[in-house]
Amino acid sequence: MRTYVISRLIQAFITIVIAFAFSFFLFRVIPGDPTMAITGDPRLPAATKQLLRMQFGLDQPISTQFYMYLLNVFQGNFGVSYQYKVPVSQILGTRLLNTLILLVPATVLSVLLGITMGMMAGWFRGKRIDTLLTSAAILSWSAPSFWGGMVMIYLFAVYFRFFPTSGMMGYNVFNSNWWSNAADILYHALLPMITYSAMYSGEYALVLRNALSGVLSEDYILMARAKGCTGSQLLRRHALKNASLPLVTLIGMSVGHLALGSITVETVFNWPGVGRLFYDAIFYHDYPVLQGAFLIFTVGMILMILLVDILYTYLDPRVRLR
Amino acid sequence: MSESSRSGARKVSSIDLLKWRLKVYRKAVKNFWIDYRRSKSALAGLGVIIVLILMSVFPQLFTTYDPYEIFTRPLQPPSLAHVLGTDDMGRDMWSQLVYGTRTSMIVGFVASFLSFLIGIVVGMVSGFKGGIVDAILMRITDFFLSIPSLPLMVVIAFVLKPNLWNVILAITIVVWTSPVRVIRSTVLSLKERLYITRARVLGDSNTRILVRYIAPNVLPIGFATMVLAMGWAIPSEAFLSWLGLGDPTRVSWGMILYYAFARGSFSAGAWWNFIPPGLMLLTVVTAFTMVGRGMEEVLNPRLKST
Repeated sequence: MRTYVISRLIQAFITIVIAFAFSFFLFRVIPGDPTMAITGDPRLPAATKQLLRMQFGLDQPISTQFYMYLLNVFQGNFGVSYQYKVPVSQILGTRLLNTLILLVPATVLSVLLGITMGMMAGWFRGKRIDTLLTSAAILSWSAPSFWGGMVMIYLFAVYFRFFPTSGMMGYNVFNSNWWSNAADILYHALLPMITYSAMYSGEYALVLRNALSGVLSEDYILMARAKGCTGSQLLRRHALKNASLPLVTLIGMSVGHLALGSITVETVFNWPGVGRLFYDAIFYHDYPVLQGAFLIFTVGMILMILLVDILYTYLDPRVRLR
Repeated sequence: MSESSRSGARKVSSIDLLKWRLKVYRKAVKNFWIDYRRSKSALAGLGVIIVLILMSVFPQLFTTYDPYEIFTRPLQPPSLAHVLGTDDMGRDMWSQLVYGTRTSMIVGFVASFLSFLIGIVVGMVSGFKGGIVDAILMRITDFFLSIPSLPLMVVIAFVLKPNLWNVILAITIVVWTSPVRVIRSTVLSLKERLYITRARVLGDSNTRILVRYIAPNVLPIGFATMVLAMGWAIPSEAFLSWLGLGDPTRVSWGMILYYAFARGSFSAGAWWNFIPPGLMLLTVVTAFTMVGRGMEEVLNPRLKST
């Protein structure tokens, strides 16, 4: 058990190092002159260019540059933003917090919604409610999330005016107390959260429905029915326990949606998180920020998968014994 | 029996063998169709895809307008002249949707075909060879599975110049892992079959076993994963275009959404500008998924239980 955790930790660390190296060479491919990207001035004199190259260490051999890059990145130093002119790590800190405020509840909500939908569909398999829920799940699964966000804003913020269209806070609550700030943030976060759950719960529902209907066709369920188990007893004692392993798979899947969901939902709702930062960095050609946001997504996902894998060993004895 | 007559007999039989093989293939296709036809959703998906292919090959049949031509004042709501209204430059929306089908289909088809080729080669070699080759190839796919794929795709598309081929390249780099996994696991189970052992005992080389016995059994499931990959590749193209990283010289659904989002027809509440392309994407993804699932169900009987 301990050896498994340690080996997984080492593996995750190696993956992170490779991802950092990958990102270094990816951003090296960028066509054009890096001094152009910094100043944006094509009439730059050659001497200034040379000075800039020296300042940024671009005159060093590539191996030295790579070593410096790794050293910096592991210390959380991602360079200076072209657009904001402040260190990238400084921007990333607050942005990451905003993203977590939005995405942690949204993920929980989407998983809960998916489980409920999947359980109902699996239990009433073949009935009208199953058809309804499964079609809804397929729609949610096939719709692109950025488009879903646009439709939700149009419907619930522009047409019905239930929610604010974008942003994280209104303008009228500054200088007020902590509670009204929190309430305002929640009010702004509600529609993005609902959108996120609506876009991603469909896939979870489909997985759980298939798992549950697989379990329900087993012989021991028939046996339990013959013994005289009522519906809820059957579901609680016999079916759900055996359908719970896909649940962990499902949590792993939800980790995989975080990066894309953050980019699409935050961009559409103008939520100042890492995803919106990523979008703006593309728009303004802000390479250091783009790289920083990409690395944050990568490290986040690798660590989350590590967590899910370790969780899995606790839940599934078969993995533990191996 | 003399040596010459023996080789002569072989020559005749090789033509017969070819005929026989064709007959077997034809029968396999026919059997596949008989099974496939049973699923209503798979048939519906196929119908939708045929219409979309027609749209992308003969867009003139579906619209009389040029998607680039400016006709009227901007943001006209749907009318008889312009069924889906006009965009913020006064161009006809319906004809943009129709011409956008071509971009989606080209990107989707080429990207998933490339993933299919990579999947076949890497999956077969990895599954059949095993050992160190398999370990290295699987580590590489594991790496691609454990980093966030869509941000990776965006970064690759961002670093390269925005044109159709680079968009396809960026999507392929992200999509190729799932065909590899499916094909590798199929090869692993095929390898244990008796007729492979028999071929080996009879002295067939590895290449011959791969080409003659493994490939024909792997290709159909490979096609199914390719169809499923189209359901990934097409929305990925839309996502890239929506971020402004698509080919700016081509109309595409993602590009329409990009203009709607970035240039304000979304904020202006012009729903005819952004609802239709999303509905098209939704339909396409559902159609390809249904066809892919239908194919998988026919080819892999274990999936039929649910």
